[in-house]
Amino acid sequence: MQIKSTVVYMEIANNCDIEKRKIADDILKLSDNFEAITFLLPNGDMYMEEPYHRQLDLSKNNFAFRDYYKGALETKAALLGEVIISVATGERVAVISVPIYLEKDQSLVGIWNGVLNLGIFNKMLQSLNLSDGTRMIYVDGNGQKIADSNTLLSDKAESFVNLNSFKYGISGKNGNSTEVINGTKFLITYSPVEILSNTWIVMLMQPG
Amino acid sequence: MLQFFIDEINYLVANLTLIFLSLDYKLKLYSCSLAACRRWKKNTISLFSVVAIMILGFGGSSFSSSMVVNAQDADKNVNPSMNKIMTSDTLLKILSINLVNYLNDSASILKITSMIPEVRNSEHADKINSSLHGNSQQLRY
Repeated sequence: MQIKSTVVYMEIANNCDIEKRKIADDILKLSDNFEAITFLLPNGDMYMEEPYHRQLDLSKNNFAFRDYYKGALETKAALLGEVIISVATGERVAVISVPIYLEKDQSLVGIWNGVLNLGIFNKMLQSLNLSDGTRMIYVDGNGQKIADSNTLLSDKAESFVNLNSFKYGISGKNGNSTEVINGTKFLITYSPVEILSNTWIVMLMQPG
Repeated sequence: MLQFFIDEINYLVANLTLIFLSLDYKLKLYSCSLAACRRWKKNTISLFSVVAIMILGFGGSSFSSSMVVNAQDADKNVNPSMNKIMTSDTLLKILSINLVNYLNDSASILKITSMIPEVRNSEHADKINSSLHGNSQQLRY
């Protein structure tokens, strides 16, 4: 009698598709740009994530609702997603996604994603040693803070969506404006950065 | 705000002084009579006295400090407020370029590695069942 055996996974196990996991590990070892690499199937199901412990911590296994999944399918090109809360770590992350298509019939094979290390952006800005009260921040297209030169505020989620500086910046304008934030008047210099089908805003906030 | 106003006044006064000096020089060259020149000089000296009083009135110390700041600037005739904005713009441009380069580099890493056959091939894709929940859950039939 033949015994039929099938193994079904929520995502693939640590010992499956070792070659892909090895490539993801090599990227993480050789570059500090990313804190994790993932591969999604065409329907948005998580296939694998490296480091593996993050895959174990996932509270969801379908990511078709994410903007980086939808955007990559729409643009059929590398896409930078908005800042989101990771379902693996609960921390703020941004993802760059690259859709992979078969050459012969252009059918979607999957989406190769890099979870950006936002800590690097904080370090970049904090190395500027700005004077007291002056802040340099990166804001995503939804007005959510990505990184902050202020070490005390860098881990705090903040929205700048109501600032005129953000509104002007997201419409593609560079400039300066004076605005009051939490009772303090700031001269805000802003500049939009258009990259990978998304717009982030760089803002310099000086008291006075 | 007051400092900005004083700086602007001082800047205008400095320019006016230069204009009068220039006129005085031209008059020396082209004046027809010594008497006319003397009268002009007398008038110029009177004008300088007025300018000096204006400078003292609007704060001589701020005038000199403003001139020192302007002399130190690479750009000519830049008041402190403009200087602040120009420095901010430059810093923002540098950081914007840096951010674009960083994100492009990151995307390039993913694009290049996505072309590797081992990445393109998902041999276990048919074993994934998204209806399952739980970490590394495996069902055996």
